[in-house]
Amino acid sequence: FLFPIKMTSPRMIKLTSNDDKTFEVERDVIKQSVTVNTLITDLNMDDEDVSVENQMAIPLPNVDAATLEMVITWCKQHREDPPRNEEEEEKKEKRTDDIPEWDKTFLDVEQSVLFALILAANYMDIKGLLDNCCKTVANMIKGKTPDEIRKHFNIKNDFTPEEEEQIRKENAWCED
Amino acid sequence: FFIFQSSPFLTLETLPRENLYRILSFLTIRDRMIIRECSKSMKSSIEESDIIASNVILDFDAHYRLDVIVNCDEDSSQLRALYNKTDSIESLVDSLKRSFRRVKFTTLRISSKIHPIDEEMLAKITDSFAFDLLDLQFISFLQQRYQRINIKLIDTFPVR
Repeated sequence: FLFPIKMTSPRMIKLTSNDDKTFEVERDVIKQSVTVNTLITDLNMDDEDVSVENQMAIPLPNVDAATLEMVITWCKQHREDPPRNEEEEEKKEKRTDDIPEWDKTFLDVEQSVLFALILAANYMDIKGLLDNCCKTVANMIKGKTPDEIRKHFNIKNDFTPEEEEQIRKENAWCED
Repeated sequence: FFIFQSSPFLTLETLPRENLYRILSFLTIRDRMIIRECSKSMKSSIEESDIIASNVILDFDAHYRLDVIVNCDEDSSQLRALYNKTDSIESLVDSLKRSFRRVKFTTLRISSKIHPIDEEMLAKITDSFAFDLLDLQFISFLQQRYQRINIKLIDTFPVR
């Protein structure tokens, strides 16, 4: 006997960016955002039996469309990741050489985009994305001199020569 | 034609502090100190974070170099004065324990570049304090070399 296979489409969630662009994303993908996940649970949206067309979109007033699109792409890529145990994560050695290759390429973007992603990941509470963004910035800082850091991040040196000398003296102990 | 840009001035300097501190949590104390040198805003961001507030560096250059950074509520000059009076690591540790009961956390930075570190001395120090060990690669090296010493990694600094 051949039984017809019932294809159930994945549950979709609508998200709206602060510039009014709406994205449809699989429930299973966006669960990585603690903020969105909590909202869905608190609003009992999982129990609602409404089509995605009639569904209320979750507004994300701190995230623009371009950034939200990137966040969703990241979440799709990491949908199979095991859930993070934050207590364990905090105990772990703080490394920056463990960014997955896919993330390295994905986060190889302009600084303003990377910082926007940090803000979005922080707001949406996606710790994996937040950490990998922060590690990427940390890698840009590591081992550089103050001048190199200023140049890299376009920071203006507003110290007087005397102030600069004073800080250098304070820092002398940690120089190689 | 309107181009939307949510954060046109988003830079490392304008990043909210909680995010900056998270970035710093992945850096060694050397890199954090170096960032202080970049600009006034970076300096104050870091100093107000308690990352390296009231730090005191104790140098034992005669035989080895040992930097102990004590983050505490007390005035660092008090600790500096205390160090000047001490003549051995034992008396220093004793004085620190007596004088700084409110020490929040401490950081140990050891450099073996000058002279090898005395195992006994290191054991005394690690027994005395809960250290926040930042130079993780070096600590890992120490752990391999001095297997009898139990170095306890507590935390980096609180991310707020």
